[in-house]
Amino acid sequence: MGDPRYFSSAVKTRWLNTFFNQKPLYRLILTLFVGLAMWLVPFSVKGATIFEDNFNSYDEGDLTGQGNWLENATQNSFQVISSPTYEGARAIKSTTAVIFGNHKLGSEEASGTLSVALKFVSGELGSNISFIANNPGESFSAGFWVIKNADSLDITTFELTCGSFSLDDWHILRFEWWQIGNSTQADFYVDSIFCRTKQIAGYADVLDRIKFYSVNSEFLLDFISETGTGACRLGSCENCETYESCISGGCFWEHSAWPLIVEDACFEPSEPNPEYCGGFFECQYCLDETTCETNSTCVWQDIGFGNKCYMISPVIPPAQAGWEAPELEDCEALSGVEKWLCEIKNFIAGIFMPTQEKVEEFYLTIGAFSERFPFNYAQSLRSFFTDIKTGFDTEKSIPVKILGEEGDVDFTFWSASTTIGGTAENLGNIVKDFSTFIIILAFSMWLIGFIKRIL
Amino acid sequence: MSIADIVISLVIFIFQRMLLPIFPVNLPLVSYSEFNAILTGSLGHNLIYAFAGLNNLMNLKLLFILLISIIFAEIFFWLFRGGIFMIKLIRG
Repeated sequence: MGDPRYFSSAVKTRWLNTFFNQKPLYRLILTLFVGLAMWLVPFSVKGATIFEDNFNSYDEGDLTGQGNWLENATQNSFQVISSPTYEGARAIKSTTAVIFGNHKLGSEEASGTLSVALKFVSGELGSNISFIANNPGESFSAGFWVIKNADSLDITTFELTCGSFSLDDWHILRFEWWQIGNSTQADFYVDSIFCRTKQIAGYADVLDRIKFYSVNSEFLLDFISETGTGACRLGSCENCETYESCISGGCFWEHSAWPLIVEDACFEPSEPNPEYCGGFFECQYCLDETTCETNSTCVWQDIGFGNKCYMISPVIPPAQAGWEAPELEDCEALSGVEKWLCEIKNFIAGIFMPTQEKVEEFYLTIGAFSERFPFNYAQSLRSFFTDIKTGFDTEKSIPVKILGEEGDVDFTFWSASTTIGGTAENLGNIVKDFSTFIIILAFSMWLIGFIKRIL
Repeated sequence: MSIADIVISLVIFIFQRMLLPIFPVNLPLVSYSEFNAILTGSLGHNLIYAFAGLNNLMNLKLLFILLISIIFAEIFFWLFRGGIFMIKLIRG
């Protein structure tokens, strides 16, 4: 709006008297609302998708007959395999024998988004695979055609190329379609990078089926989805919802000690701290086979990410409460009036005494706070400072390298002693005391300035 | 169910439904696992490796305690100043 000082008095008065200038809270709310709306608009997705399928629930073998998948006419069925996959337990694969192809019907969408993860395995020069969406009459389609080149994968939208890509990686192919007048328009993306837009003139119809066919090549397909995101795998571990999917994706599963309150979750793998090795759900922190299998719940094996330590069976043990409910007095040993009084006392106490289950639940509830910010971050900081303090307590040398010769600084002269004020002191202590004085002096100067700032 | 159970149930309800949901597990910019891995992994080891040799020359523990105190004091001071500024901005 500009600085009112540089406006005329009339404008200045008008500006100063505006509602929003007098009520900054409304200004703040309107700004936040407009800012939020600007953020949300670009994320509006065109329509939905025909269907999603990650193949994880299928049995290994023919894809035909599973999950309503059908075989293309005179073509072999893709095979459901367990490894390698883009995400989860299953993917589908063709082999180099002739032509493989399947199709499946889904919902009719006039506009939408569709993506698939694709990987080349083997094949001769020119072997290819098509992944398309068709309209009900199969009079037109939109999708990708991928051809194996000498040392790269050429990904095209049939007539138009999107470029060459590596043979060794998974690629996410995605296209969005919508209708304009009597034509269908589509935008194509490879690995989230915009490739091109294409108009299918004269055809304005819904797309309701997905079809793919591979010619003389081995290709992997997986994770047919709307946007290609949300897969449980390295780089997006937060999408893994179960221990098994988290571990099979190469991620770390963080177990909460308070499972009633704070849920376990999956995170990107971090550098394991071997001090935690051996705890429940903490096999991932064991860095070698010996320390791993010392713990009876862990096993050292390779599931595709090199030899690492994994839980044998992630069965959660019953929660162990740190508190115990007080017990009532045992009246069996008493008799007569004493027994009556004891039982009356127990009855009255029992009205006010909590049960062990309730105590355990309360213990877990209180303990759950330790899993939340700021308590978990504070605990981590506390451990960090403890490690630093312990580390600095250990005597360490200062390595030096002079003219190519490596060695450590020799502090043996530190033990040379002298007498100061009648007390024998060695040189090391004198230097340390002097440096301590300098440090405290500098801190005092800062403290004085800090107090002045506060006051 | 005893009276104590009822009171504890009420307290648990308040904690679980009203207090716990307010506290996040992870901060938006740095998750707890990343934070913990950096602190207890590379950062701690690098600090010790880089500075432990200076223990022969000065009291490193005192130096780091004072440095951390200064950092936290400055952070809280500026957070306080920022909070006062936001309150004044909203109140007008």
